[in-house]
Amino acid sequence: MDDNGSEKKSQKQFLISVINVSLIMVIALALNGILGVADFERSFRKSLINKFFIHANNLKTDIEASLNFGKPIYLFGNAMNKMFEESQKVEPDIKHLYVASIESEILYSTRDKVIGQVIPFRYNTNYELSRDKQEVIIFVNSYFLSIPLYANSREWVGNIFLEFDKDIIAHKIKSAIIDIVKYSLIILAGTIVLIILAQLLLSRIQKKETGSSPGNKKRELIIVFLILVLSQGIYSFYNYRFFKQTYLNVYNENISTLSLSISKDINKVLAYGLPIDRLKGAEFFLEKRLKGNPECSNLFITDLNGKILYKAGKDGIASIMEPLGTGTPFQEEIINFKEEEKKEYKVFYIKSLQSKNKTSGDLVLQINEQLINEKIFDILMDSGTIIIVSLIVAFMLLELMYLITGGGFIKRRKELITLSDSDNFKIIRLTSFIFLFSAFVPLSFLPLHIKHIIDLNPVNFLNFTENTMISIPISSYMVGILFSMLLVVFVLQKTLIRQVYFIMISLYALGTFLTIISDNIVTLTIARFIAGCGFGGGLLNNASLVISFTSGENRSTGFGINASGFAAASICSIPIGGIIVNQLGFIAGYWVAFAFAIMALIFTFCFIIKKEEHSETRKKTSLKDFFSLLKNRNIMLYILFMNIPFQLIFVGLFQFFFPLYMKDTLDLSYANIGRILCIFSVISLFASLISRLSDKIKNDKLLLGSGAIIAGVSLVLFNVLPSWGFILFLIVMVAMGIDNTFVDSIEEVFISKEKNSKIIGEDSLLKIYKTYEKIISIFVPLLLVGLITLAEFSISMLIIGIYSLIGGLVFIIFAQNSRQP
Amino acid sequence: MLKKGLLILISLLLFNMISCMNNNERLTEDEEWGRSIYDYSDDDTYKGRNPVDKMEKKLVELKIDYGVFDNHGERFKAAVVISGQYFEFADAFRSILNGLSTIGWARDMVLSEIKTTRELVEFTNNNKFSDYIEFPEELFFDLKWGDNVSGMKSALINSANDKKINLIISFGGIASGIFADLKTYAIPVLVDAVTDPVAAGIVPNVKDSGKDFLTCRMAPEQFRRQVRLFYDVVKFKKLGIIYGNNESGLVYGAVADVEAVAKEKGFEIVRNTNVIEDPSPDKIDVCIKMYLAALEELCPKVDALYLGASAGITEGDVSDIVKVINKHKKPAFALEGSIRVKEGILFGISMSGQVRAGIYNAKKIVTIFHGELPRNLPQLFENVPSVAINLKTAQIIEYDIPIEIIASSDEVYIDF
Repeated sequence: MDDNGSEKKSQKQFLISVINVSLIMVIALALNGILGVADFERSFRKSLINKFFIHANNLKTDIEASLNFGKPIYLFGNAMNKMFEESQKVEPDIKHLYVASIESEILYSTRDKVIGQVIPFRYNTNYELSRDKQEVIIFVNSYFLSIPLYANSREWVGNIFLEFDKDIIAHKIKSAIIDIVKYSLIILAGTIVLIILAQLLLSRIQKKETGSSPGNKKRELIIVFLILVLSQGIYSFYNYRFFKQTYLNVYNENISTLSLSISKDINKVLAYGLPIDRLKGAEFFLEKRLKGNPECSNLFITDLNGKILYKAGKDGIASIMEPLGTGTPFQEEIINFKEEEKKEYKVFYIKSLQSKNKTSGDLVLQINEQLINEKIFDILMDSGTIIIVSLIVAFMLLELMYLITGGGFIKRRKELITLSDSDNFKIIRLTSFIFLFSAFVPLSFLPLHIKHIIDLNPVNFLNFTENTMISIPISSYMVGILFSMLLVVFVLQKTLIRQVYFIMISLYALGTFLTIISDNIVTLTIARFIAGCGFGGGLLNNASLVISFTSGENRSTGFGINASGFAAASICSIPIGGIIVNQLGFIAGYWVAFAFAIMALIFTFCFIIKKEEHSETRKKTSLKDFFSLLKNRNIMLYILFMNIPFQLIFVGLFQFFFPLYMKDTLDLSYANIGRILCIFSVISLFASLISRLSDKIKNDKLLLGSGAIIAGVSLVLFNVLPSWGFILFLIVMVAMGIDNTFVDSIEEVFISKEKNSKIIGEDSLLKIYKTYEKIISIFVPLLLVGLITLAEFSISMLIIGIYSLIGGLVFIIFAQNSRQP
Repeated sequence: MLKKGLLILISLLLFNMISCMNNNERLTEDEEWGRSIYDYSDDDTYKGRNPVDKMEKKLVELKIDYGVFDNHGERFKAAVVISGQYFEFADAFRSILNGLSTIGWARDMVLSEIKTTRELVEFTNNNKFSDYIEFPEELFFDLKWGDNVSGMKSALINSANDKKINLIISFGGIASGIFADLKTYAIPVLVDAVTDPVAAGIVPNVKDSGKDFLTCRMAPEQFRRQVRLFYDVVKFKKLGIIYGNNESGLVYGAVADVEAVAKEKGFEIVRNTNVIEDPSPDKIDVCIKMYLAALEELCPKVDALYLGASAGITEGDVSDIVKVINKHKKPAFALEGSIRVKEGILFGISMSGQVRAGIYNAKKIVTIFHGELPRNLPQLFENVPSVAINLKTAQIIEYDIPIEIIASSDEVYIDF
């Protein structure tokens, strides 16, 4: 009976394990799929819209040819209707076409009823600043593409609007999604089979071993994680290939559309019997057609032997006939089609040119390889980012699963038995991850949401500009953080960690809920203040959690794990938050944050238990205690020579200026800026490894100082070797990430072990220090702005680099280790 | 208890998240653009929807109903007066007849094969052109370029007492000049096909005809547009013009417009005024010879030629002119438009704008029949510039026309 009983029990456990892990796989694959599709949808939509831009630009070329003859925009008559008909014949998905005057009055349209009316939505009319700005506007159920029209390339005379239904793109994206879901199910099935096999193998091995040991769980975790990585890897690879091919297909279509349009115009001329080598001005004609078509880098007209007769593109213009007015001699060239043999995509598109039913030459379009390669690189990078996000989420779910199901946790909780280090670390990591995920999700769209609120209910407060108004709720959030930190330090010092979490997370949840229902800047400001209070107190309480759930031997590891949870939350929250907001709106994003706050409350209730808290750290703090840090030489050395330069780098450079530098100077896309900034967080995932190292060698000042020196050297080199450019910039990012990881892992253990801790307690000391840090962080941006005003940006960076470098050296030389090996 | 609480919370959360999703109710096309479209009156009085341009806006402001009506059980009678036999007058009259068909006042008939104004008048009478308007043959007056002026003038002035004439349509400067001297006249007069009505003294300016009974169609910038267009394509430094050095010559050659554009663009005008304008019948041969001689003299000195409506062209054989120009390989632009391009001149303005002009005049006619004073009607009518090209001539003179011009041209001739 006993054998039967244990057999049934092990079978049950096997089944539970398989189901749990399979569920995690489903969630991870689903997350991967959703992130991938959302990302793909954005760039796919852009490529599809480009196709319609090609048609709109073709129409623009035809209209401007007449405008350049002096034809006023209001005198096209039926000629415009004919042009509209042509466009719609070539592209039946064009719903309607409009031409409006500069006063936005509709002069021509395929919709008779609206002629004479004003365009019903806002669009750019300031072409002095942005001459050829093309816009996409969504109005009710359609996309409208707006392109300006010019007479003689100088005078703005009106706009073309091309309308097509939103459903066209939605339909194409839907069919792509169906394909993705199909093969995700195949991968899922394969993964589940692998899991079952792995579990069978593990249970066989376990049966042979005597008794169960914690090592078995670790082995299981490793195997499951490997299967997870494999399935995610295969799925991401497949997605990458699919997205790449789909993108290339749309690209091909767009080029094909362009080639048809251009060849039609040239054939019209050739039909009159003109020889192909006597097309005067063909190079200018090609040059005009290239504008607004970034997918094409060069256009050529060749004879039947491939010899170039006319060309226009990034290599300039040239013609076999002497170009008008320049007298530049023509250099004979033949197109090297062999180039494309090495590529995975077509480089040249050839359309034959006909004259009286005979081929007289070819129109050759050379695609913009740089654009394609950038796009493919983007898709690859996005796949990489997505795989990291889904692995992180899956890993966290695995941790949670093992926490709940492993080794009678529930029983141990009921009997208040001390948890193992492994379980404590899981709790620290998960608490950090869940709470901070909730806090970080809104950060990616908060300024946009504030702007939206201001637009809905504009308020004129002391004549503040819009940017100042947007900063008010953000500032109130920061004030709330500081306020709650002081509250935790001075008022809630004796309150248990669990209770502090309940209070702070509830405050944060309340603040988030109030944000959801706010419809004006005043209530939003109050809501963000309350949310800030919850966040600040919760963040500070994380440090207490680490101190409480670790001992002196593994404290650093604990802080490192806390830091890795922080990093994991920041990596995952931004893309997930972004997708939710794009698909469902701002309020949905806040609801997700609210949901995770509730999950954090539930987690606190289940896992942060009263008796687990170590009581020796809980002492009441006075003002004297608060200011006693100023007398601590080590801490002051740290603040002056390590913390301030670190904050200048992290708050000032990383959050403020580097994004601007990447956009304005390096001209990177927003996606690439986000990826580069993500390097920082990815490196921070390894904080627990650094903290383990620190626990081993116990030379915190060396490690902290080294981090500062690395960051300082990279900043100095960045200024001294500007020719290294982007590579060196990446090195700076990595160096800053390393510095940040060292600080995150070791700073708290360094501070908490100072001699003040004997008087006021580690927990209080840490909280007071964190409050100091927060106060400094408020002044750092001002310090940075002052520095940049006095000595321009590159010099300021150099100064900060030198400060960090020297600060690190001074700290290593003059500070004392608070822990001894 | 906890489980129940959790379940309720999760349900609330899901409910709210779903309700946050964008409301994607589809609106009808009309709802998209607002209710104001229901207030928009559908002015579909002619085939093909055209925007309400500035000139037509003024007609629209008068709120005339262009629907058909008769003259108390009879058809409206319109007299036609021409300065002389000239293709442009026939084209203009043809466009008015087509315009009347377009707005529903006449039957749709093929008129393109009929060459002269007189034949057009005869055609309308012989083929039941319209149930509402007629152009009696006895009310057709040809002034034969001034030979018949005095006789016709008295007949026309006397006919003012004849209440049976409801409208006079006058083509050309000589014909319209009859009415220029009159302060009042009982019959409304519609003037068309006059090169420059202000310079010809028919009206004081484009805004006001100066006479209650008279309205004309004017395109004040049309010749400047032609010259600008010609310059933009060819980029000549010296432009040759030939014109008789009298009032008529200056008007037929659009000399003032050429001079204005020369100042604007910075090119030089080279002139030959050794030609005769408005020759008597016995002087026509001399006129033609003088014109050809002027052309021979001018061609070597210039980069391009602007050919006005000089008698040397209108009376002579254009092929002779084309031979001289082609021999010297000079690009030329014909003021008279595509009819000359068809005959071998390199460039000219396409006649496609005539359709609009015809509809415009037809609407003015109906407005006059409604009792509106001709003076209150708009006179400004902007021509739609579009180039006509002769590619055979381009080949002969070895001149390469930019393909952009060819691609956007309405009329391309490959022979002559």
